[in-house]
Amino acid sequence: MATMQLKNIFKIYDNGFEAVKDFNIDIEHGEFIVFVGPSGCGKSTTLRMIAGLEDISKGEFYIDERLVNDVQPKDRDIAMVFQSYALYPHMSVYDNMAFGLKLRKVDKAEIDKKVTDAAKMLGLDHLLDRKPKALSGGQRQRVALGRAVVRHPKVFLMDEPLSNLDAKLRGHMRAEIIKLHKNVGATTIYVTHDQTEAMTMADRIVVMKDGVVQQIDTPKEIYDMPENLFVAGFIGSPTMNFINGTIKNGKFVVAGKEFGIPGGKYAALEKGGYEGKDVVLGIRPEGIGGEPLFLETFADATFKSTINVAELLGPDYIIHTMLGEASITAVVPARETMEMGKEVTLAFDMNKAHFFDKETELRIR
Amino acid sequence: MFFQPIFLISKHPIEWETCLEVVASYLEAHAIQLHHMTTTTACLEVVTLGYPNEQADWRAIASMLEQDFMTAMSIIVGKPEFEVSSWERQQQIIQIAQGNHQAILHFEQVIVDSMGLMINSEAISHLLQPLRKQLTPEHRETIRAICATNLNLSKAAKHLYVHRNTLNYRIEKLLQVTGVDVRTFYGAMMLYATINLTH
Repeated sequence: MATMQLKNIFKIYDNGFEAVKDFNIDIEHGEFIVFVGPSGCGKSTTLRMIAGLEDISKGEFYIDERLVNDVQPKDRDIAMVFQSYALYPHMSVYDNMAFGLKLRKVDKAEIDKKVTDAAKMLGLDHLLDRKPKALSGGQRQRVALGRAVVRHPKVFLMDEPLSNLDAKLRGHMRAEIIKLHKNVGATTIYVTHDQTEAMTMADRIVVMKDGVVQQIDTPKEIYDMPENLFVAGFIGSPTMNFINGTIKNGKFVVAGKEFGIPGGKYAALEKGGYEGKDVVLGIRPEGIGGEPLFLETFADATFKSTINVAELLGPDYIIHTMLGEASITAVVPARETMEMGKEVTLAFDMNKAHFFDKETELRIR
Repeated sequence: MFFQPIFLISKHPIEWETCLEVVASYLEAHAIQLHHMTTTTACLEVVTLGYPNEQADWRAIASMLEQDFMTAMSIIVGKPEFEVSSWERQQQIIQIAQGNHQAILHFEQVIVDSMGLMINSEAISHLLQPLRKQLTPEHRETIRAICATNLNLSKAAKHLYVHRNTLNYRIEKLLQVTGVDVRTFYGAMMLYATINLTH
């Protein structure tokens, strides 16, 4: 286990392109941190700087309070798992797992113990003599993890390790990695573009965009209290609904309809000088309902609409409709049949709504 | 027998003997002919009995070497048709590749980049500079992905982890901003030159 501290880290390439800008985080012993963001947001570059595979252009990086900017990767006590879980085809599972240790001239008996222990932990003990060709995709990925586990590093760095697997196997391996983290306890940084992986695995999530950290927080806080429009839209599936409207006399007005704003939320809007101004309302699909009790509870935030598309998921429907010019997606229980063209009355749970500044895109609080 | 030129460039000094041994095994090579070696570069030819496997996953090989040898690794991949035995030619290729910042670089890309260097005159730079200023990180990523996948948009979308429609939308936006269509050979070449060659 190790603590890590990244202080004002930048990655600037020779051509002046800034891939990572002013990255700051303190990571505790044994934490599972997930970097998430769209392709090109700088998450893998940051991971490679932590590994020492990329130089840090500016800033300071500490492992266990020791400045390691100029420490070679092999001396940082880290292990990496990458997206392409290729294994040496000519080596057995045992030799694949032992190879890194052999390179470090570890004693043969110790290698044997470490490989055997890791294989047991990963359920690979009966496969040690097999060649990679004779393994399934999931088994190969477990060997790739095993190659890192045998080194007993202070820090695990994982760069999209599951993205080559199919959806079902990915779900299974997610659980395996969480279990592994609990057993091994090493501080882990995990890079993914998949927000489901981020939400299910992380102690804390770092959301990035264009090389800039947008928010660092627990999955629940990121989901419930997104800092800005980008985070709000990136995390959550189906994505949050965004509706452009105006604050008028303590209400949110859109397409001639008025939605009551709870006192606490309106106080923040009033304090920020948003009365009479345009804002963006964000509400998650599960914050919209059409059941009688829901409509009764949020009677001052209802609207009538026509269903454009209804997708049955089993217990719920995802319905797509419109409010003025805004597309609305709602998740409603499948007690009543929903179908295209049906007229429905829906309500917003305004306690779960967020307001964002149109210019800065920051959440108003 | 076929002789495939391969250059390995490591960020940190590395134990080449073991590294080359595993590369040879990975490629099922008959033998390896080493041209020259420094603490961080190795220029060699991989000798195979059949034509080299065009499907070899070089990215996976680079990842494995990075994991085991704990160093950033770039690989320049040649074809048997290229002749690179002279030290001077090897140095030229390495120099061009080092300016590219890609983990895997095929000789075709090196040749295109070197053509770019030849025409990277002030006049061309001036011509491309305004275009370069308009490109956002997302544009650059899109251009790189489309070029890396030989203008195959489905593969490019997969590479970027986005839906094909999202990629189409990004391409249209890029076209609106730059007036250049990255779906065409010349458009892609021009945008590739813009992100890689101008200073």
